[in-house]
Amino acid sequence: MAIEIKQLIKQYRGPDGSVVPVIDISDLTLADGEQVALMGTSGSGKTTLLHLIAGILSPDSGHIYISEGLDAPVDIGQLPEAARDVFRGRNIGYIFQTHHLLPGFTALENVLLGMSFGGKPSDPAWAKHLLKEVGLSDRLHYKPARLSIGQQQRVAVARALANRPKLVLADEPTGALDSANAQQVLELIRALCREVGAALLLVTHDRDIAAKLSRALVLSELNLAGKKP
Amino acid sequence: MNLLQLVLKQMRQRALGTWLTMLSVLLGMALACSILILQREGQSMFAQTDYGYDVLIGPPKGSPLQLTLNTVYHLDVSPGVVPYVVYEDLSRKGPPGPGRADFRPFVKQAVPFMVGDSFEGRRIVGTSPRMFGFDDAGQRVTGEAFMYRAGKKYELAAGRAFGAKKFEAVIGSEIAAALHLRLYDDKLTEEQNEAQGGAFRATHGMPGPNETPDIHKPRWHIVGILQPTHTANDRVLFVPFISLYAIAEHEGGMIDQALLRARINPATVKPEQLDGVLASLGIDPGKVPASVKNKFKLVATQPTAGDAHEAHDEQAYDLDAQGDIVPHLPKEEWSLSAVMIQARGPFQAEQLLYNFKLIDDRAAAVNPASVMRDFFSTFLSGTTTVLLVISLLVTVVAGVGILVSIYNSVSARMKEIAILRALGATRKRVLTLICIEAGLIGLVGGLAGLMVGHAMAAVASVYMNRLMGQTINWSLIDTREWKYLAGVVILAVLAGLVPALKAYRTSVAANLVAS
Repeated sequence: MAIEIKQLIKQYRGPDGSVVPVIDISDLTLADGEQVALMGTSGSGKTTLLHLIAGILSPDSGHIYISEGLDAPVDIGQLPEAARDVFRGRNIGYIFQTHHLLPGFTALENVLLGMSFGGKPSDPAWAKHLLKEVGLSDRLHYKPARLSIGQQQRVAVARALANRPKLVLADEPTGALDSANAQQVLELIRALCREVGAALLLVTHDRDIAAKLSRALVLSELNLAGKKP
Repeated sequence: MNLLQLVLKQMRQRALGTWLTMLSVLLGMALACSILILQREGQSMFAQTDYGYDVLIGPPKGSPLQLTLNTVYHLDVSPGVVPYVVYEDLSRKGPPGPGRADFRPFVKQAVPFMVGDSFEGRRIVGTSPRMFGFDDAGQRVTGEAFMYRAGKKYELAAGRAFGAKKFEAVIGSEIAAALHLRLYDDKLTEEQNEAQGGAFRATHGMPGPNETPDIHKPRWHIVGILQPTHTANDRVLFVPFISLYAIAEHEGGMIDQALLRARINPATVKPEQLDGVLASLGIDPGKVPASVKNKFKLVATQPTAGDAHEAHDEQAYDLDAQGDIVPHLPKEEWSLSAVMIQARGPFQAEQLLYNFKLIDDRAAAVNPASVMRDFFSTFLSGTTTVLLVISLLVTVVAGVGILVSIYNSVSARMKEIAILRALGATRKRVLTLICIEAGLIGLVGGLAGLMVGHAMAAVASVYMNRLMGQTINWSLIDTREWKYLAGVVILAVLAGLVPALKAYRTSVAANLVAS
C-alpha cells in the first residue's frame, strides 16, 4: 500500500479562538511495503499526521491518497467518517505509544478485537500465531494487568497486525520501553509487517531505531506549519 | 468477536453494576407481572361467567353481592333467609297446588343452600344430595347433574353422598387434608370416630377467636370426601339441610326470624304471649313443638350461654323407623340461605330474575355472573389499574436506573470506546453496542422478573387455597405480560440511547491523546 500526501493542511482552533496551524505538508510519499521512520520534536504534529493518515482526523484541506495495487487510490481525507472508520478497520493497523489494550479482555481477546471491525471472519488461529510470534503463546489468556509493560506493547503489536493490514502506523511504540525491550518490539513490528506485506510508518525519537528503517523523515523539514509568513 | 460477545464481555467486566441494574428491572417487572396475574385471575375468579348455575335465589332485601360472595365463594355472612316454601316451589317436579307458582318451565334444577354453622373455622353448608348428583333416595339423578362450574360436577374421591335426612356429611378435599378428617368407621363408636376424624359436631355460627364456641349436640358422620374442585367448595363440609333444622337452637332461631319478618322484636314477646303472637302470624301454635317454645322462652327470659346449652339438651328431632331425621320444627318455619338454580336456558334464567324482581316478593333473584362482573369492574378493576400504574412507575424508575448505570459506565469507558473507534468501529457500531447492552439488561432483568412474578403468584396461590379454597393459574404467561416485557426491553433500549449518544459523539483523537 502506497501513500501520497499532497498539500495537506490541518489546523486547530485554540481556546481563545485563534487558529493554530499543525500540519502543512506539500508533498510526501511512502512506497508500497516501505518501512519509514518519522522523526520530529514533541508537538511537531507527528501524532496528528498519523491520525490524518489513519482517518481518525479529517484534514482541513489537501489529499491523502492511499493506493493498493492496481486499484484507484483512495483519498481517505475526503471519505465520510463512517467510510474512513471502515477503511481503517480493513486496511490500517495502529500501534499507540501506550498499549491501549482493553483491561477486561485477555491478550487473545484483545487481538481478536482487532479483527472485529475489518469485515472479515474472526481468525483465532492467526491471532494465536501473532501472539506466538511476539513471544506470548503462554500468555494467551492473561489480562493486561497481569502482563509487563513490554508484554502489553507486544500484544498491541499483535492486535495491530490482526487484520493483516496493508499499512501499519506506529506512534512511538517503544517510547515506554527500555532499550532492550524497545529493540525487541521494533524487530517484531518490522518482521510482522514484512510477513503481512504491510508498509510501516513509525514515529520515533530514537535515531538508532530510525536508522534501522529504510528511510527516516524529519517532520520539521516537511512540515511548513507555522513557518510560512 | 461479534457484537454480542463484545457486549457480554463489557457487561461481565462491570458485573456488580450490571446485576444491580438488572435487579431494579427485575423488581419492576415482577411487580407488574404479579399485578397482571392478580388482575387476570381476579377477573377469572370473581368475574367468571361459567358458573354451573344461572340464578341465585336469596332473601328479598339482601345485597346481591353479599348473596353471591356468601353462596359461591363462602365469604361474608348470609344476608338473610328465604322461606323453604320458595325452594319447594322452585324444585317441584309435579304440577303445583292451587295458588302456588309453577317454575317448571324455567327451572332445570334447584339445589338448597343453608349456612350458619361451622367446624374448626370451616363452613358447614346444608344442602341436598342433588348437589352431588343423587336424589333424596340416594339414586343417581337422571339427566344432567348439578355443576359448580360449567361442565364440572362434583365427584367423590371416597365414600358416597350423604343421606338426605341423616346426620351425615360429605366434605371438601382441602378440609379432609387440613383437618385430618376421614370416612366414618362403622366398627368404632361415635365418640371414637369423632376422636379419629370420622365424625364431627358443628359449632353454632362462626365464633371469633375470643368467643366460647357453642357446640351442637348431634354428630355428623363423614360418608364422602370430594375430589378437588379448586374452588372455595374444597373448604366446606356439606350436610343435609334437614339435619340443621334438628338443632334446638336453630329451631328457636327460626321462630325469632318469623317474628322479625313480622317486624316484632322477639325480646318484647313474653313467653305467655307466644302462642297468641304465633297465631296472629298464621302459625298454628299447636304445631310448634314444646321444645321450640321452651327454647324460645328460655332464651327470651334468660339469654345466657349456660341456659342456651340447657336448651340444646332438648331433643329437637325424632328419628323415624328408617332412622331418618324428623325435625320438630314445622315445615312452614323452615328457611334456607339461598337456592341455586340451573335454568333451562338463558331466556328462562332472565324470566326467573324478572319474576322475583316484579312478581314474587318472597325472595330476590340474582345472576351471579353479572353481579361479580359489576363488582370486578367497579372495585377490583380500578384497584388493579392503580397498582399497575405504580408498577409502571417502578419500571420507569428501573429504566432511569439503566440510563444512569450505563451513562456512568460510558463515562468511565470513553478511552475504551475511543480504542474501539480507532480499531475501525463506526459511530453507529458503538451506538448499537451500548443499546444492545441496555436492551440485554432489560431483557434478562425482565425475564427474571417474569419468573419471580410468577413465583410470587405461585406462593399466593398456595395461600389463597388455604384461605378460600381457590387457586390461581400462576404458570400461565398471557399476552399482556409478553407485551409488558417487550415494553421493558424497549424502555431499556431507549434509556441506553442517552449514554449511547454520548459514546456516539466520543472524539477518538481527543480521548486517545488524553489517555
